[in-house]
Amino acid sequence: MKVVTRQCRVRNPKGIHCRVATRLAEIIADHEATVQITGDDDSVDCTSILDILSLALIHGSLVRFRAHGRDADKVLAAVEALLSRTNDP
Amino acid sequence: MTPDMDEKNENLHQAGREQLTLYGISGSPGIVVGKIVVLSHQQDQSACYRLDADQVESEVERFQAAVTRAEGELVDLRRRFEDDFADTLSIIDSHILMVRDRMILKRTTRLIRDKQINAEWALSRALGLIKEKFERIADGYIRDRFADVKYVAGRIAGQLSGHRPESLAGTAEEVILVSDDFSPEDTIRMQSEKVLGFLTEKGGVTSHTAIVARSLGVPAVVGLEKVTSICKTGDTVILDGFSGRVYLAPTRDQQLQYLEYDRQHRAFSDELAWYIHLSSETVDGLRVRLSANIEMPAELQAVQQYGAEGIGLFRSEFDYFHQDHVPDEDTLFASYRDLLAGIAPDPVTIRTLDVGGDKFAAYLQDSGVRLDLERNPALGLRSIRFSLRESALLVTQLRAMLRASCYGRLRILLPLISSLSELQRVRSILHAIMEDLHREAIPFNPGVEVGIMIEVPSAVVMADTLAAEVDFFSIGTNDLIQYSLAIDRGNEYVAHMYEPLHPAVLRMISQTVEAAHNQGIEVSLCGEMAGDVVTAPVLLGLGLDELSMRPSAIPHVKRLLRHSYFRQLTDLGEKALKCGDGGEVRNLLTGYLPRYYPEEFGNR
Repeated sequence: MKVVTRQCRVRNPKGIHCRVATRLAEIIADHEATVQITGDDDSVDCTSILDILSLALIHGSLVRFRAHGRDADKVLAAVEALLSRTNDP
Repeated sequence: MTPDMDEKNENLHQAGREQLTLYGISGSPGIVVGKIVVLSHQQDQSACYRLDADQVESEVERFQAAVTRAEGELVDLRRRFEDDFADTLSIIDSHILMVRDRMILKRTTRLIRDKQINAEWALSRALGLIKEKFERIADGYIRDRFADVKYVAGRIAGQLSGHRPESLAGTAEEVILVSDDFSPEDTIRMQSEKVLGFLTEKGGVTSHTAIVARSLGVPAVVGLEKVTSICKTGDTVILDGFSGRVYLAPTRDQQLQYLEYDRQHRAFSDELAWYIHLSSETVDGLRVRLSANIEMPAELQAVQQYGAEGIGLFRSEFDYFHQDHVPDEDTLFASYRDLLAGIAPDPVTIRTLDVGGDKFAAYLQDSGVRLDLERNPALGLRSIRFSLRESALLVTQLRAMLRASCYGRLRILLPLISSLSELQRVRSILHAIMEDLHREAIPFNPGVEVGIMIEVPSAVVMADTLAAEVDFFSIGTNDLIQYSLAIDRGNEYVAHMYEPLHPAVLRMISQTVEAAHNQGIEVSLCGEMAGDVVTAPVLLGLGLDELSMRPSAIPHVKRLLRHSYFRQLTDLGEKALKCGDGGEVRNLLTGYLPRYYPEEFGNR
């Protein structure tokens, strides 16, 4: 199974708050892949929005993603696009 | 914001309640008077008990059924309001995800099984663990999202105990709801119930309660410290959503007074709302375009809301000063394109930079200009003169405008033109840019309209000559008055002589209109006079084709226009031109306005 990793910075001025986390979880649900997200030191899988929120990813945080599954490439491209937005999805 | 005694009132103990005025933040406009119901978000008072081993699985099932019902309720709510409230829906979406989040679901289930405790207890312990996790978050905004988690858990708990916690069932009369805070779901569901208004302790203008209350059109005051402990269910209050004040235990007279205020507000805005979708024309069919003056693309919503027919003046300075560097062509292009596309097919009039050079001190460091030495900045290097001197700035701006010209109807407006040669210089720059764009195969509208501001007396005198060279005129009365009357409005000793209705000003407007119409071009007017219901009738009488004003003034002026006859307006214009001074014009209006517009001016 293909494993893809990628890292990017959070551009939303409010950080990854509810709306962004919700969209993130939705994106992942729409693809055939499982995604791990790593903040400063914690690592969670992206199915729990509370887990994502509790990583406390504020504006400028460096985030690493690790995806495996058929859509691994596609899902990370979408995730990266989401995190590089400066406005709410 | 501590509650203060309303000292003006003598009757302090009416109905056994102290009169108090509470100061909060206006969340949603409107005034209501009514009894309040205080909703305390109840603490988890459900019993905690241990289970026998054989009860565990049925308890897990009971919990899961409650989650399913809570989720179903949220999904229902979302469906009911799918078409409105975009902001609210995204909040509900995250709540739907949370209700099935494994931090709640799995943890609670595990606690029920491992500790053999009932579902309510397990849920509250799971919530406690989540709370601990959130409390460690340094970022305040994300940390505060725990409120959403708590809300969702509350819904599950409500399902477990079999009642809907926030239901108002049983209230026969319309009430004002008071709470620490309302979730969007609360606020929306209350639409179908009898709610006059909302008061909350938490929140600001952008809080959930405020956003939803505004979209429902229900008055709300938010950020009222301690309101849930000060007010008791059954108290009568006046909620003034305009000022953000709440009057506890008001006298009968106060109540009647505020109800009258409310009636006036409603009558006026209902009637004005009626005009928003009507065309702007006189009873006998003379059409005048009423357009908007704006500074930021963010104002587009207001432009549409108030029924403006295009933008008569877009002041382009904002893009230059909201950041610390001069914007590049692409940034300006994107800004203009969105504006044009958002308003099309109505026109957007973009004025080139209209500032004193002092604003560009950093940019000018190397150009040899010492603006601090200007003795008379109003007559100095500003506006189009500045743009022509620093032509790189002008070229960038004009290129951005031309590139945007394919996306709607653009009118380029050049400010402070005082002679034909300035206009010709800009024309030749425009011509060169068009050739460049053509060579680079970048699309633009070669027939883009170019107009000038008429705001210097020399331009009025030369209006016939200038009119032959441009596609439209826009009269800027603020500067025209200052330059023609030689009055600095900011100077306290002469400010009283600043008179928009000075016949000299009116005659200049009239001459400009005549010169333009002789050449078959349109004249707009975009000073403060355009949006003032006292001066607007005179301007309409002078034959202007367009009045451009702040968006919220448009319905007022439109109402005036729709109650006028063309003949009656021109009569007024002709009479005003013959007056000896501004006072005489005002006297003329004092006789005229109440006669033709008794509703607006009858009581003055």
